[in-house]
Amino acid sequence: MVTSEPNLSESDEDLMRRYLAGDEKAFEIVYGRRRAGLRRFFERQCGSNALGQELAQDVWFKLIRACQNKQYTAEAKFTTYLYRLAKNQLIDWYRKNGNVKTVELNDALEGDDETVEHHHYHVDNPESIYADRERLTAVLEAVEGLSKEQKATLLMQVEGNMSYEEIANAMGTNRETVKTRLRYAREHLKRRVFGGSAE
Amino acid sequence: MDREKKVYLEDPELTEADRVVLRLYEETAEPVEWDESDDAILAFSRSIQSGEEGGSSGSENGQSRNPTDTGEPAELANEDPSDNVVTFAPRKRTSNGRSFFRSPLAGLSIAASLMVGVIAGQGLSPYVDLGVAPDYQEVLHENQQLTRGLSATRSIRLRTPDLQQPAGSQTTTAQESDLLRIGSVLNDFRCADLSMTLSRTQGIKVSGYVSSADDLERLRSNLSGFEQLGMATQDVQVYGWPVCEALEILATRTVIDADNARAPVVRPFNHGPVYVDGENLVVEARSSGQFEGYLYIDFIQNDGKVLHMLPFEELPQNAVAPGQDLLLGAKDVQYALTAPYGTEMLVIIASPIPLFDAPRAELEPAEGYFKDLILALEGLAGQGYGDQLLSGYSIITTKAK
Repeated sequence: MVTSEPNLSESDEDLMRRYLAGDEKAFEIVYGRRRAGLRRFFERQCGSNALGQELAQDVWFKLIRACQNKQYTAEAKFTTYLYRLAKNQLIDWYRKNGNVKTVELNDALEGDDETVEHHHYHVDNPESIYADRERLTAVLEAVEGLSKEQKATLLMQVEGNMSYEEIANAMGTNRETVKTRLRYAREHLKRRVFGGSAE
Repeated sequence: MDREKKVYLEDPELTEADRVVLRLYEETAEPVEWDESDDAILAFSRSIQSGEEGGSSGSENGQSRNPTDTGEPAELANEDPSDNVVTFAPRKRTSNGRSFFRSPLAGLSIAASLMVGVIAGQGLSPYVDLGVAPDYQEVLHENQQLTRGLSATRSIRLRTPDLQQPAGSQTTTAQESDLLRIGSVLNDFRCADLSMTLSRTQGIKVSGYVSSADDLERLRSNLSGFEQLGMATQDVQVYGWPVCEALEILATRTVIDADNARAPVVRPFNHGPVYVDGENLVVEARSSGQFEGYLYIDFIQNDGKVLHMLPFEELPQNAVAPGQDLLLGAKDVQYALTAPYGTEMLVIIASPIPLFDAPRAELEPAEGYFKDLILALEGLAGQGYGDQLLSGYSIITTKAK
């Protein structure tokens, strides 16, 4: 039974419990909170805004159906559930388009630790960096250059604001694999942004 | 709304440079403008909510933005936006002597438009909708004939937002009224799951399955009036009962998961999908890579019976570890395929807790088993295990020598 109005400070899970109890407004708050991140997750995975729109829409439809069918019960972390749907949607899309091996997104990245070259970068003036359009472009290009697994993991972190454990649950892998992928992704980004200025 | 606190930036293992690149990424995140797809999602959500309360989906809450404001094609722009949510009344169906009731939510909802338009069909399954599955999934096998997942709720999705009608195209653009009529045709089959996809360049493609050759013929006949839209039905399969019902149970009450690390897998061992009379059926299976639990492997025969390959009275142990491989029919118990021939099906279901109190007889009528299976799956879904009820299947064909 819904007894009060939902408010913006409530957690995703509390709002989804309200939604499951029939409170449509609660869903609209969660949707407003998560829609842009999920859209960018797909847009940057697929390199197409239209496709990102379509895939994100599919995920929201599936979430709504999962709520209707009581398959999502708001017990699990909401973003974990949402991005698990997103990851499955992405795998499905890759397969339909024939540009991925069947298990690619879930393969453990064995040997990643060997491939991560750790450099130390000195950041003189962060504020000037944020205003530097070339650096921003470099970041986007660097994200584009990541493997599908690393990209999905990084985008879950930055667009979904998810912890290692939450990403691991959504990806169907373990925490250490997530940490390795993210470490690799950050190193890749830093190389592109800071060039060869390793110390 | 205040910016959400970024938990990942608080990771003590991050260097300053790490934080800088992550913040740089945030700087690249341009706002995502609200568009038709957002309206469609909220309209769909509202239609579900209003349906749950017993009413039909209302246009007041479910309407999309006026198509004329959003660059819609002219044929859609002429439609009254208040008509953008349409719900057909629930009705009773029968299949092979059994009765099914459609959910009060069942019906065809035009949720909103996505450039060309999106029709989100909700609950066209003849069953009460209890499950969710990806719209279309291939499950760890190169042979699409072997492993094909179909939508839990038959969605009618119209997409291709960027495509322009090519000059000289043989097809004409579907009017919304055409799509409703086609949706009505697709909804008129028992033990079936049909969906359509609209492409401006390729017309309308209908895919899915029906339960008999007669139904397939009737489907094609009923769609013959839409040939000018480039109607294609080559992808529609015929899966007779009980295979069609088994597919519906999996699609509506389990997760047919494309995620290979998580999904259980069942398929013929070193054999294609076609068997001739007398050949032995050896099955390889793999439990969910993510969960330990209990595995159920069945062979759905086209004589209306179900052969339980795991567990059954003589092989009661079905507790498995994550990613455990199994080979059935190779040693002590062997299975030779005989008449009646046709489409049959291997099914695998993984559950975190047992579905039944005791192993079942090795062979039993499908009708009774399906009832018990539905009760078991729905019971577990009601206890919150719905997203851990994972399944997979393989379609095989048997024929005479």
